Amino acid sequence: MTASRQHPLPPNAGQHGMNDRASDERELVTRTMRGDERAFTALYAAHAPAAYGAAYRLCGNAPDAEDVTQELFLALPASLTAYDPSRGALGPWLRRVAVRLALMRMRSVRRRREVDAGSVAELLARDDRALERLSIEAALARLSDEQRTVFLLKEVEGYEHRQIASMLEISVANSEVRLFRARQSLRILLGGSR
Amino acid sequence: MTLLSMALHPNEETLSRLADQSELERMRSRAGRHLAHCDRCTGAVAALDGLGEAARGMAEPVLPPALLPRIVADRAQGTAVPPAAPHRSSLETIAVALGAATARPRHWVTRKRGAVIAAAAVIVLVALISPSWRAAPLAAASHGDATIFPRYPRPGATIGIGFVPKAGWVGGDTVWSDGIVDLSDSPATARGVNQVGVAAVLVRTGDGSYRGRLTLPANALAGYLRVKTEPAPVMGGRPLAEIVLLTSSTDPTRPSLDAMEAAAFNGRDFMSPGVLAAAFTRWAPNHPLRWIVTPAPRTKGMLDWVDFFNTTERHFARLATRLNARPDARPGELAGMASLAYRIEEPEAAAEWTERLVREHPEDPAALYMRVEQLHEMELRSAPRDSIARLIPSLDTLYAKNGHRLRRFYTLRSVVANNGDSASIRRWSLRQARGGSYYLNEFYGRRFMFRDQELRDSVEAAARDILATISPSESWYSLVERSRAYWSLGSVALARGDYRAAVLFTDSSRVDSCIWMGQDTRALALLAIGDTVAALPYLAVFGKNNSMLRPDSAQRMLGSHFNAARWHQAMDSVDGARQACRRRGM
Repeated sequence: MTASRQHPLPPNAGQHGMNDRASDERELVTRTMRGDERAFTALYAAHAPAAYGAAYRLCGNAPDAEDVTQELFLALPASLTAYDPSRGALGPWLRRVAVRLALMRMRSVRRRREVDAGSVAELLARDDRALERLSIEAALARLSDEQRTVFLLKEVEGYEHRQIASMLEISVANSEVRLFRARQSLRILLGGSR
Repeated sequence: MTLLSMALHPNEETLSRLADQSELERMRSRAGRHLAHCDRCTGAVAALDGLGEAARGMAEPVLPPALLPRIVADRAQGTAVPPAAPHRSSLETIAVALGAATARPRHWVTRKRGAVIAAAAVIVLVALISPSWRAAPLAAASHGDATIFPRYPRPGATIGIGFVPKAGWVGGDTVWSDGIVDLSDSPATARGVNQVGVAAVLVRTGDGSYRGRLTLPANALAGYLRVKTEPAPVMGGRPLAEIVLLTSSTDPTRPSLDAMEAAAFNGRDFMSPGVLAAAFTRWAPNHPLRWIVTPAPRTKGMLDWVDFFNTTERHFARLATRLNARPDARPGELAGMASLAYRIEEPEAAAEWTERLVREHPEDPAALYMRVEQLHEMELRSAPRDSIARLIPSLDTLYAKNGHRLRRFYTLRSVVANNGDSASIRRWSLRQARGGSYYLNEFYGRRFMFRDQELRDSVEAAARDILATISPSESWYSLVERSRAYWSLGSVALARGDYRAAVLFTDSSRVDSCIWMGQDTRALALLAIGDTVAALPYLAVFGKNNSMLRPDSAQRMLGSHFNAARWHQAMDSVDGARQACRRRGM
């Protein structure tokens, strides 16, 4: 049995110590806020891949993930004023902002879909072909937005149900149920035994 | 550990919860202690853990190298959010929220009652000076102010549209305005249309402002207009300003309730949040939809308690008392209460208000719509499928009682497809087809459904009706409607085996370099003709959307002509065009 759960980037990671790397990063942050393009590029190189990855998985497609990453870094110099280094490292903070932006984008896309009958979600609902054994990525892509979002936030981003409930404006119980349904669906999609 | 807990295995939902807990937390619960003695359940939890491990082990998607140059170019052009912008960007708001304390629990108010009552006097003071009490402008503009006159026109009236650019904005002699107008529901026509595209030209006057005119449809209710730099039939260009349109009925000084309800239900203030809320605050303060369109208050950190009298839960409770005492509630009010109940996560209350709406106003299209929402909510909460299926026939009853009027087909179609029998699915598909809104990507099920001749004929008849009644030069909305109609005709031709006709129809479904519906149909028609090279770019359009077209499916379709390098090149080319469109604001 798994004794403890490890996440690559838990939301509260990086709260310990101020090592050299952290002070370098702090300087980069200060320089970026002053408009230093080199510092901005260095921060982008260090943190954009993780932010893009989180957005890509949540949105389920590259164009939306690119938009999220673009929005995140376009406004970075201004938004860094809200970043408090004593509360954690920059990387996880940026990733959390990317997650929130991706969720906002998903909401607006969902809203647009209400008037667009040719939407991907509807198409997904009609996929009645026999399901072959899928990779985890493909299986995740076949979950509903609601299930996939909760699963990724919990299992990959490391949020607690309480935090997920707050972000998605649902109850904690609802978050737990969605995670349960997502796991159930994934087991079927991945061909696991029931 | 009792004998009972040893003998009974926890259900899967409990096992899922256990998988989220630490070892210590597990041992504190009866189900957790059961795990220590049950290999079967231990294995089940390990399998659930394995799903998380597999997800965390997924390769990171590769960051597109072109993204950084694009961001740097945008920053250089000054399109980044200026640091001193008066309104926070969504990102800044999020960043500040992340820096603040964690979100409050939903029912926090009950625990803080004492402290809040003590501070009531302060609350009144804060509320009185709060900006939300001041009237919001009719238009939210970024490059200038847009207005319409009269402010609340009568349906069918000719209105004036004005745009006053901000100092420093440089434009030509002409700007354009287009948008969508919601219409009052009328008895079923060939198509269940309840909105229409409108457009106007605005010409610069001597004082630097722009003016134009537009005649509203005779049954106009609400809508929105954008002022933009591109001609109206071009769907793109960044809007200079947005206007929420609300018509009046007998009193020209105020918007009609029908108009405000239509605007709220159709989300017409999406780009100008707060405009509609201000109208409700002023003209219908006790309407439930007021709290649907009112933006959520910003987190104030330590000052959160000032919102004690302003929570949606409290508004809902107050309005419920009020409306329960009124036997003459409007359909829009009852639908608003159900929507408000969903907002505060009270599905049972939502179901009760929906029942009242269905009982008292079955003839109103909102009854059918809210019943569909009720079934969708049951789906989201994983209600037993047969309990949802049992309510599907009530949709037919409401459809008959409201005179065959349909709105927002998307959710209805999904609910019926997920829970109805094959006869119900076909029946509603036909209704959707006759309403001119039957759209499905070719890669998902449409080919299967199009074996049904009646469905094909209905789709074709509706598409031809759209092409005969909507002029191509009206607005981008009209162009998109016509494009969809051509796509439908192409798809019907494809299903009938007339591949060359399908290609020709999809020639006509192209609006411009950014909007081209029916590229799925075109790809399959070209493949059927045997022109694999020509089909490649149209397949590549869907190449980066794994949920629609998996790489192995594309490979299978292209057969021996598949070349991985060429395939990726085609997808990159599509991506480049998409980026260019996005830069144009489309």
